[in-house]
Amino acid sequence: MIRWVSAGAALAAAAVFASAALGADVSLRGAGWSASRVGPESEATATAALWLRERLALTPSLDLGGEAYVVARAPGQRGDHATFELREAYAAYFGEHFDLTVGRQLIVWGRADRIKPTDLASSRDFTSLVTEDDDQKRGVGAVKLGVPVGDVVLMAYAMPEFRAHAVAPLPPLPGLSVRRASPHGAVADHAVRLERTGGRIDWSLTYFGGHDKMPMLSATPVSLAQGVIEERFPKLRMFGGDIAASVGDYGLRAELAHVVFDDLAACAAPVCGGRTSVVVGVDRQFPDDLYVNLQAVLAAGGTERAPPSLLPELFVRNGVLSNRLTASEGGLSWSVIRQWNNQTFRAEFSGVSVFGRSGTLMQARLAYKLTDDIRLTLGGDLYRGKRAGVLGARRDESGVFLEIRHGY
Amino acid sequence: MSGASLFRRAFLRVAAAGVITAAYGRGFALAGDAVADLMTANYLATRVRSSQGLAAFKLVPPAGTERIRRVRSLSLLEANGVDSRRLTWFEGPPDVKGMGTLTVENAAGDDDIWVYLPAVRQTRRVQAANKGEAFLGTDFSYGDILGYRVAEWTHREIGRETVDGRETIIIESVAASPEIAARARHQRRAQWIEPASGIGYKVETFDSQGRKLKTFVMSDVRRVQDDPPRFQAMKAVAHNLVTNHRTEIVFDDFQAGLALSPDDFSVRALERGPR
Repeated sequence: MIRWVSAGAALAAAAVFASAALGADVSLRGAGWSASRVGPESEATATAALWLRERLALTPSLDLGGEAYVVARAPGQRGDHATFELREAYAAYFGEHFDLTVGRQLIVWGRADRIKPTDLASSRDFTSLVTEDDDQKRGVGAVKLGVPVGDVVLMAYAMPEFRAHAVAPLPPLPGLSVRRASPHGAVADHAVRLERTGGRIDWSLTYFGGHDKMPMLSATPVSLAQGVIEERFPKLRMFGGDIAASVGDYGLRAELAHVVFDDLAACAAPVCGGRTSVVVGVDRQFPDDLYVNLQAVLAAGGTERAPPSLLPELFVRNGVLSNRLTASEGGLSWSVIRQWNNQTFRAEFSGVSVFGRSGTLMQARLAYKLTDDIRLTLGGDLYRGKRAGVLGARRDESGVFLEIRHGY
Repeated sequence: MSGASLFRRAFLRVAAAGVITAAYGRGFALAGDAVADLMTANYLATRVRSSQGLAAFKLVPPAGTERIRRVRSLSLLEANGVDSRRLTWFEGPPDVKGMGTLTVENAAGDDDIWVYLPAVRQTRRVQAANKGEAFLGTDFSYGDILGYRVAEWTHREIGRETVDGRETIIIESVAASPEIAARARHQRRAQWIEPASGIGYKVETFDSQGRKLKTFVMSDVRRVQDDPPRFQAMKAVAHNLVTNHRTEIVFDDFQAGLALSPDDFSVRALERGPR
């Protein structure tokens, strides 16, 4: 308890220093969670977090930016621990003929709502206890060059830093440990993007060549003899595009990505090979601050494989994490947001339901602004579906939370 | 546009203002054309060629804590003299700091609007809100801020009154169709307009049952552009009589006549933030 109070005091002191001395935006967040996301034996916990964000304009054409957070988790059955994350730390130059951003940065692609098949550049921490999914995103060390060419911007990315998605650890397997087989050190991930945002229609085309951020675990007779399960991040290429436009009172959004693995042998999931994912949706802003978004989600392609004789549960786990369980699947996503009292009170109900065995996720958030600086949020996530499904596999993560937040 | 055409437009504008002012001085009720001219002058009165401003939006609930949103903005009038491009950035409070919007008005159709969301580092096209929707969570609607198209309403003079020491003509405007009323979220409004400037110093809106919905009071009106004369209210207060919620917009700084180009109003500029 003393250590917990000490951690809180340290966070508060750091917040005061960051705000007063550095002029940074500060966010202090305290929350209670009915279930954590760190493993199958999920337990209730509490978190205290300090987020700092700053964007400093050194000159009219040069910015320094960054964001970091530290989260302390209350003592529990799995012990207590603190997590530090440097989400961004970059320098950005805005020139007449080009823009250049160097350093760790969040790279976000895709115009669909929440489900973005082209968004492969930045990784996520799926184990982090955050109330907004976007806060799971983590920056990647990169150089981004943007060159306006008429109405479009041509962007080139070099991403030497590899950061894998953080996922719940594999349940212990007696006598076996997990070892990363690849990649090690700097990588040559890269992308080219042509984007137009403006006029009547927004669109983009993206090529990404790099590593999958989602781990694939495999066991071979050789590795098992060494007591090791190998963790790989296969190289892939993605060709994608998106579009957004307004038609009358409606907004139309669509996004498509085709992903192929460079080395099919590195794929250890029930479905491998080229796979195309499509999201097509419509949204509308209704009177009285009501927003509704509906999307169809489709994924198809690849060839189904029989499970291996060695540790077939790894094979299924890979399929769950990479959404490669069946050769084709379809579903719907929705988002309904309503605000009241001049945006003092906000309610959001959203989710995705994938037909077949993949399952359903429903999320609800109720947020009330006590003041300009203090916000209270009550929320919950409900996963449903078969254990061997992408969403059903996360049923133990279903739960509710209550967060009080000061700052952004 | 040719020099002769420019001269003709300028002459007509001056002539129309002269007719309105002369009619007002003699105590005549304005005829239909003169009312339309006055409403056109009102529609154009705040449309400066370019501007930058820093304003505080104070949201005052009937009970509880006031909230203040600080907003920095840039605007540029299009060549048609009616539509504008606008960039708006929130400087506070913390939960919206860094958020920005780019609006490209389109008198012939829907506006194009993009929102930059710093939390996701992404710009998103959003639907042009109905003119009656709340402007950035305030008690002002987009129509209250950007103005209502003159031709979509039927106007008539209903009286004359002195407001804040200024002689004004009271114009009643009624929606020309149920659809227009539905989009504006009011059926009828009364505006206290100063003929010389075209500025509305007071506005009241009503529903189809005649119930008063909102009142607006503009003050500290300054002439911010000379040719053609354009004005800006440094303070505007909206009172929603249904919810008893009020919004005060106070400009701490407002400058017109800046050297801006359409290139300054791009998504790239939106994402860079104010310079």
